[in-house]
Amino acid sequence: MADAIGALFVRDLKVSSNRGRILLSAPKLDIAAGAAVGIKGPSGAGKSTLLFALAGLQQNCTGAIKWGSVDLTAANQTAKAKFRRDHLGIVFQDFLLFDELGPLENGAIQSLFRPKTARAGLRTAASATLKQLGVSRDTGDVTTYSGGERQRISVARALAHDPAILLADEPTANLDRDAADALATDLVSQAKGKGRTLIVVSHDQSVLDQMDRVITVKDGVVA
Amino acid sequence: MMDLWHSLSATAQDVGLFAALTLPILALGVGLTYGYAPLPLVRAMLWRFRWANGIFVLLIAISVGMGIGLLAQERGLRLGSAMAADKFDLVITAPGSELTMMLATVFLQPSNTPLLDGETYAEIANHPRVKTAAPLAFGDSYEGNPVVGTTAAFVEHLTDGAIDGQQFETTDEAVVGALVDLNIGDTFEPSHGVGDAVEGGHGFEISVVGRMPVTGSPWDRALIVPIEGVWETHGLANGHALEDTHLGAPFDPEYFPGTPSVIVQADSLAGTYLLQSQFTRDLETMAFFPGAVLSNLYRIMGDMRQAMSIMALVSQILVAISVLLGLFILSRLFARQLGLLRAIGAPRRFVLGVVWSYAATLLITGSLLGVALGLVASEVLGQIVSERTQISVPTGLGWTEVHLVAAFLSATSVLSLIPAFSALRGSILAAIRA
Ligand SMILES: Nc1ncnc2c1ncn2[C@@H]1O[C@H](COP(=O)(O)OP(=O)(O)OP(=O)(O)O)[C@@H](O)[C@H]1O
Ligand SMILES: [Mg+2]
Repeated sequence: MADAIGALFVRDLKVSSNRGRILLSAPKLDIAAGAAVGIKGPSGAGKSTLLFALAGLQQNCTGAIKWGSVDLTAANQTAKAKFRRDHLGIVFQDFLLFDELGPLENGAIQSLFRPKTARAGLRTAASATLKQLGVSRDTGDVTTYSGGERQRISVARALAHDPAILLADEPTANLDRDAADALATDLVSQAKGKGRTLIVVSHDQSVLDQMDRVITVKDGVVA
Repeated sequence: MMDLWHSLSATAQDVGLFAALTLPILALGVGLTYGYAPLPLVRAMLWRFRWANGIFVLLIAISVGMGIGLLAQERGLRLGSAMAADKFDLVITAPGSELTMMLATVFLQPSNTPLLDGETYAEIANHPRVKTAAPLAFGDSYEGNPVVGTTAAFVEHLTDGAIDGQQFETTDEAVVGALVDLNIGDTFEPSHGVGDAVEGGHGFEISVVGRMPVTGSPWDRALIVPIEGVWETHGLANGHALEDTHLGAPFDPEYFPGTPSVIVQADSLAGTYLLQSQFTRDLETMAFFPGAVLSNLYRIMGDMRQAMSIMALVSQILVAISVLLGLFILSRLFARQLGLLRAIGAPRRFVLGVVWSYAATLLITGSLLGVALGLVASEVLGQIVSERTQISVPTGLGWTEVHLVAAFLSATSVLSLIPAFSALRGSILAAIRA
């Protein structure tokens, strides 16, 4: 399984700001494919920076970030976009949904730029995930849905194309205790069921408790 | 290549130019969206910025409409006046201003014009290459419409023989233009003078016996009577010796009171040119082609036309620039969503396609609306001009307007790539954190 796309291999990663300040360093980080990993640390420590670097969204990265055999620090923009499109699901802290579209259209947003043959499958998957996550109605645009529902819609969007890797940045920050626990459980079961690698940034101990392993980021250093 | 182009018919050239002008927008549309389904996101952008979008569309529509209205109206006036002058192959008058004489003869604008005498008229009428030579007599009117004296032969020529009713046969009969508010069988009393100078009735009635079809010229408002009647009414000889009672040509030079102009049909085109040169004589006669006078007029006015076209173009460019600036700002406002698309791995071409399609939708909608606006504007302007001049102005879209719109669309659709590309610049994280 060493070359499975969901297996992460990070060596001597340094992320710097545009001015050259080191924002984050990760000398060594290995995650097995299919593992559920939590990332914790104080505010401003560099958790989001790490997660975005793992998604190939951070500029100014040196060292190695390898998912399977794909080396993101060596890849160009087009290759990174293709990697994200094919293998990555991302759940953003503030949903980032298209307000004008409904839950299913948001969940299946990838179908807009995928080959015609893949579109119907994507919609079916998004629809199924929405149901599993408890978003049962599909009427009106997403602004008419609660924060928790919107967070679920964004999870459904991240999962619709059946990615090998799911990254989530504070997915439960806007939710109350019960909703937070329920979403964390859903994330883990969605990942475990399909053998996905799950990486969740969270402040929330009860969310972190559901992970196989927790990594701490402190003062820009990944321990 | 150039030879091939010149060998094509005018329509083929117009179609070819149109195709060439629409190629950029088609190529961009297909190239940026092929295989993708950007429509839901385009709709989202259209809806999110609906007010700004509405204003953009309106701005584009007004500027395109102005350009089109101007061009269509200008061409309409040119075609309309040319059509009005169509039946007037060659006009022979006393020397003077061709423009004044043409306005008086073809467009029936009252003016004091010197007269040609009977000798001159006879010389024209008896020329071997002349088919018909119609004298004219002005000076009377009925309810603002000119009463024109001429020959039955000229009425025949003007209408191609298609008179509703019949031709006048006596001096108390008239054939009226299509727009004259009198029916066949009605009678009218001509007044002396035209326009503001009307001095009262002549005290006798003329009955309408025929009506001309629409000619699109001021002659549509004319009441045409035998020229002999007009002369007699004004106490002049009637063109014939006393014992001679027939109407129309030939006229007797001895009894010919004079005519401001003679409208001539020659036996052939060559004959027309021959007559023009033979009757162009410094102090005696002037012969001109109304069509040529009109084209000269348009050539002189060409500078103004160009100035107007440039003004329309400049306004269009300004509108295009402000719209592009607006698109820039709006796509900035949509930057988070576009950043999200990039973050989840959407291909660059797709993101470009979304922004460009959004811009193109505004441009196309605005342009089509502008075409409609332009048509309405030229229709209205045409009505006003027709009412003022009695020249019926044909309206409608011509190739020039179609080309203008296609060029505008193509240029702006290419420029729309600038906001589209700017959406791809900069870091994705900066965009989604904003
Ligand atoms: N582009 C950037 N340029 C300069 N500094 C940056 C940039 N991005 C992040 N930082 C800084 O890097 C540090 C880490 O930021 P990051 O967002 O990763 O923190 P975090 O651990 O996710 O915090 P939080 O828990 O509050 O979300 C912060 O001090 C932040 O100000
Ligand atoms: Mg963070």
